[in-house]
Order: sequence, then C-alpha cells, then structure tokens
Amino acid sequence: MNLNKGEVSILNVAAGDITLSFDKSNAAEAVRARRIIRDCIRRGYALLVEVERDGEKRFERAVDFDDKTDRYIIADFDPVTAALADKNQRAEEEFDRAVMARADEERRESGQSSEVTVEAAAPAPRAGADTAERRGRGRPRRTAVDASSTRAVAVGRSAGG
Amino acid sequence: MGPSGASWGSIAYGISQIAKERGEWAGLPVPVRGERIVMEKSYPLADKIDILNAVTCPGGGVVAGLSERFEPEVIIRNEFWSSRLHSMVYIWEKDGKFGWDRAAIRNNMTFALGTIGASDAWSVETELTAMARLHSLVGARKFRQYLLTGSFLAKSKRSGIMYMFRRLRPTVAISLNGKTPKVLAALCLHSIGYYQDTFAGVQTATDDVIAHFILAMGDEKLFWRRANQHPGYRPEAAL
Repeated sequence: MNLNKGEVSILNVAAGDITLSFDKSNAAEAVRARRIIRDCIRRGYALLVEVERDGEKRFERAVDFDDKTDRYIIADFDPVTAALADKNQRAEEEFDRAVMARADEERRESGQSSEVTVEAAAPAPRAGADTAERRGRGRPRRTAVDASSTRAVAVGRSAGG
Repeated sequence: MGPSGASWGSIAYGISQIAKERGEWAGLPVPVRGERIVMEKSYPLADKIDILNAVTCPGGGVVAGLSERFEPEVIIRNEFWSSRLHSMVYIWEKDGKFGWDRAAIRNNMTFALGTIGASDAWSVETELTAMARLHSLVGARKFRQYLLTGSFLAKSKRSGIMYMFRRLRPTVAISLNGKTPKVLAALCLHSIGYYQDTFAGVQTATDDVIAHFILAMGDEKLFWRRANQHPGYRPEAAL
C-alpha cells in the first residue's frame, strides 16, 4: 500500500495508519483532511512532509498548515547550508590556531615573551570564508508546500520507552 | 481470547471505533492482561490509565517492576541504576523509616518475554499494512534488509550519525567520527504509549520503526528530544 502524492498517513494503533487525501477532485475528503491535519498539529503531532531539494527527496517537519491554500508550512532548514557554515567556522578556528602556534614558535626562537597581544590573537577571517554565515542563521525562513503534490506522515506524541 | 471470552481482535476493533468517534486519530491503546500501559501524559485518557492498569495488572503497587510490590503508603524517595547489581535501586520511606530495595533483575530476556505477551494487542493485518507503508518510505533495499534481518541502516545528512533502526528494539545511534564507530545511545520512542518493561509500543512494531525513521530523517533534534536515551549498558538498550 504505497503512500501517494497528496496523501497523509497518520500512524494508528489499530488500523496501522489512517490515510487522508488532498485530492482536489474529492472536496469532502479534502475538507476532512484539512480538519484532521489542523487538529493533529494543534495536539502536537509531528507532521513530516516529503520535500525535494537539489533533486533529492527527504522528509522535513511541517510547523503549520495553511488550510486556505492547503499548504504545509516548513521551517526552511537546508543541511547543505548549515554544513557549509560549520565547515567555514571550523576552518577559521584551525587557521587561528595555526597562526597562534606559528607566532608562539617565532617568539620562542627570538627569545621574546610568549604573551600575545589582543590584536595579534585576532587574525582576519580566512579568505573565502562565508562570514555572513558566522553571524548566525537568524530566524529560519519558511517554505509552503502544496499538500496535493506531496506526501506526509503524522506521528503522535511520544511516551518515551 | 480476552477476558469474558471476547477475542483480542474484537476488543481492539471496539476500541478503535471508540477512538474514531472521539476523534483520536492515532487510536487508543489496547489493554493486555498482565501488562501495564504507560501513556504519553497529554494524550486523552492518560489520566485514567492507572485505573485500567489496576484491572489488567492487579497488585501493581507504587512502582511496577519491583521484586516486591509496595503498599500505596510507601513513598519512593530516590532511585538510581546500580552497575554492580545491574538493576535499579529504590530508596523508600514508610512511617518515617527508610530502607532500600532493588528491582527485579531486568534484562533482555525479561523484556523479550513481556513483548511476546504484549503482542496480543496487535493484529497481523495492521502489521502488514505498516510494513507496506515502510516499504514505500525507505525503498526496496532497506526494506529487504528489514524483512530479512529486522533492521536497516540510514545516515542523517544533518549530523552524520548512522542510525540502526530495529524491529521491536530501540534505535541505535552510531557516531562514525573517530577511528572506530561508537554507540552514542539507544533511542527508545513509542508514539502514544508502550507496555511497561517490554519493547512493545501500543502501535505495531513496524509503526514504531516508521515513527523512528521519519523523525530521525525529518527532524533529528525532535527525535532526540522525544526519545528516551538509554546508555548501551542498560538492558533497555537491548545491545
């Protein structure tokens, strides 16, 4: 039983799952789906929606649902951007450490004190680093995904285990 | 057969109809004789679950799973895991006097036996439905591994952690940084509720796997936040 586009599967105790449909040709079912999705989000269900980024499909959590336009609202987390920011930050930290180590070595060779001035300890960011990313990601952007063109899975709140 | 001669299937069906009428989209847990249900606190009827547990598992006492059932007037003051005794230790107070006791030895076998008992709550049809759903979500190769071994692997693009999703066992989070893989934790999560001291959730085994997979790949932070994180040496980790 495949989960098709436009469908939402709610994991259920007895039925295995309940499948809702945002099929535009079935208005009554779409109304029912809208109502249940809103209720699920209100109750704290995790609603995971399949999205496509850079040609790759994956699931991301919907933080809200616009029942006027039948769109899932997804916080725009892009793992590639985040990974690049992390990599740039690590590269800068390694560069800082390398500069400090070189400065310490030069001072030892010349017999100078090992104290480092504040200015010398704060070198300029490495060329090519994306400094905009280091200032923080700020408020995540949100993307709206048409419910009739994707599939989603809803998971109830957890009791741990 | 359940109590009063009704089949478990009919009991589960009746409960699912009640859930549908009440608008409980994830359903309601099916009680099983001899098993206590732990429900998510905000879920409807969670505050009534102790009444049900008193029927299905009479003499449960203050803390289930102890080698001796405590009377209601006993207060548990503290609890901790003892690596030496390999069990939970409870410090209790009664009438101003303190004492300690250890829980019954809990290991993989006790959990596994309880899981067999809890399986009365599920139906084969529900499990097959969930397996078909899992197949559509993870693809042919991972589903084949799951069908043949009861587990499959998937790596998070966000954190780089490798997850081993297991049927009726907690998901194992494995770090691949460093020279050798390292188990970070066993993540246990059951949507709606679970049967205490077992590996069984109130949903079928594969529904739990779907929930783990979807959350780990879709919202990893939420997955870790909602799951119980068991160290590898605990019996709950099933390692």
